[in-house]
Amino acid sequence: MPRRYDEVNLTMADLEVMAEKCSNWGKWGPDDEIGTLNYIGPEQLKYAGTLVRQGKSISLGLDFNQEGPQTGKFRRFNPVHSMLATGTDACAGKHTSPNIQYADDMVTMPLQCGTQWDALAHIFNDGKMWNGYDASLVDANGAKKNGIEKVKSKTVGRGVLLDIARWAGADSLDDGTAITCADLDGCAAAQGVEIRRGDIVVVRTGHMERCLRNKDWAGYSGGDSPGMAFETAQWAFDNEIAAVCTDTWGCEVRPNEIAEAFQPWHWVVIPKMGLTLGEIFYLKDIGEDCAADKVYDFLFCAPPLPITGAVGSPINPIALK
Amino acid sequence: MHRYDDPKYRFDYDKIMEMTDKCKQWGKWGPDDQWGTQNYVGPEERKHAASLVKKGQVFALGLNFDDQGPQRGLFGGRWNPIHTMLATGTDAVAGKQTVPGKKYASQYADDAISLPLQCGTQWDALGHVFNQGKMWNGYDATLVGSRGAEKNAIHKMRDKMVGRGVLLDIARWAGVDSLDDGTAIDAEDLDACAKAQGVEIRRGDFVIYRTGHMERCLKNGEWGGYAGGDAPGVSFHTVEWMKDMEIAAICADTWGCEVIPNETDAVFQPWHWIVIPMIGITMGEIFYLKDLANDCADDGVYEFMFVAPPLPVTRGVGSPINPQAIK
Repeated sequence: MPRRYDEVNLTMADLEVMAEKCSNWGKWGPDDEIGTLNYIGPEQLKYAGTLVRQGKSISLGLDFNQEGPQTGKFRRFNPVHSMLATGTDACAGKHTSPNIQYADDMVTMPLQCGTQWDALAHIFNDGKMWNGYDASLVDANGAKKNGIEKVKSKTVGRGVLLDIARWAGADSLDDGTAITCADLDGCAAAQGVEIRRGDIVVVRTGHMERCLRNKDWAGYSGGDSPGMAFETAQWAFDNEIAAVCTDTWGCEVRPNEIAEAFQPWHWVVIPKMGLTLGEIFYLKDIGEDCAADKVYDFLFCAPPLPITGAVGSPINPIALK
Repeated sequence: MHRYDDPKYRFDYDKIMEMTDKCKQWGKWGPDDQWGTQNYVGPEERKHAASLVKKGQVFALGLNFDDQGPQRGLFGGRWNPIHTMLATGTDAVAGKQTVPGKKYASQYADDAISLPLQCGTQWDALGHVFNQGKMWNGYDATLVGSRGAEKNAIHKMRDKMVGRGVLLDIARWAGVDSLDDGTAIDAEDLDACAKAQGVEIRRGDFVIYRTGHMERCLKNGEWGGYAGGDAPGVSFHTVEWMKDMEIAAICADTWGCEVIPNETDAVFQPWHWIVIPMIGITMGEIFYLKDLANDCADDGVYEFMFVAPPLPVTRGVGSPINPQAIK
């Protein structure tokens, strides 16, 4: 069962060791910019297609609006949606030249303000990003390497839900609860699902649902949270999974298990391993559906917006069963 | 195909009103419906779509979103996406990123975007176009105010937009790289192209037709009038085909699907007046079809699994997308 974040005693030395152990730099050649998404090949895609057995489509995207989880921390704000043309204008006779009644709109938002992919250019480790590229290749004009547009056709495959909260018998794991490698394996075994190479692993902690139920995001964005223990970097590496996604702001447990670094698991999995992370996933519906039919794998499709040089993308992931 | 100004196909406002009545499907799925023709896609259609994943290959139909996009201010004041950085690697390397209470600096990049929801590859929500003050299913246009669409908004489609996709490569079928601007595609062309390709259009399909317009612009390194100016596209007279085929959505590699100049001087985008508010069809525009079309021409397979989830922007009337065709 999940444990508290402070039950281990880890230091920056452990971070450095893990970073070297889990490094995939060069594995897919010196020019690679998609990392572990390389694990998804034609066979994985064809198999994912066979998982659509009931013809059911379930969205894992939280709606994008002013009620989102952002508080301004890290300069992130909730989407600002504004109208460029409206039906009220149309009915007031404002749309005569050209003669078409229509509505139109725009949005301004941080790319990681809601349900989202981190691009591989999002996090650096000692001045380097995925595959050894220099961090300074991400400047005010965006990311020249590892941008989100590089994975525009790559985030499709077999998805597996690990419903850790339900497995642990909780509506939501408490903040500060760390999910260990043994928990991931134990939950998968209890659910009767096998983790395979190239999987997109979706981990439910119940954190988002707790906030929605309480009608208070509180510290959801950047504050304390349940999440992946630091040691699970090794689990992701060994299982050769393509991506990890969670219903939390930042995937890993907070407070962090290494007090000196902020988000130490990120330091390893994104820049060193090349793992794509999905965050702020809405997992209530898929969690309930999987609990009801006991089928925890599905075709997963979450195309990013191919924003050139972007280090993240808002998404609406779809699970098809 | 015909030219937009061929007298045989010209029409007046009365014709638009005639088709408005003839194609009206309000109430077909009940008085509360906000999905329109997406109702044609059910479990069977989705299962069949997944069975089309035969070689394990994904094609992204999304044009990259950046300042090189097609918007030139020709319609509605739309602009290309403005992508700005909130944190950069250069900052990180320069030691600008510290987190209070942490001894070692976190190093990260972060960014934001400001964009019209229909500036690039996109879905029109059913709340996007009105006909005489009404939108899909008879809802009043005034339900779309400054706070967005109270009915027929894009977030209602969050788990829709999945099904069987069919490419109709009209340009290739016609033997050209790109149809000329002002070329109108007839219903007979859609049928003949499908037949020549050996593919059948079925109820609930996402029909995607290629004119070559976008590729012409990309080849020329010049968007010109792509967004809101002259274009090839479907004739107004295809509205009944759109209804009768019971398709779920219609998508194209042009800015606005229908031929411009329009075949009438009475209104702007007359086909839109019918298909969105009256038939309830979801429309996809500015699709990037080059790679998919080349593949379909190579293997002769014009059907695939299609997944194009919209961003569920609450009360939005459109959404930028990156549609996936999976073969």
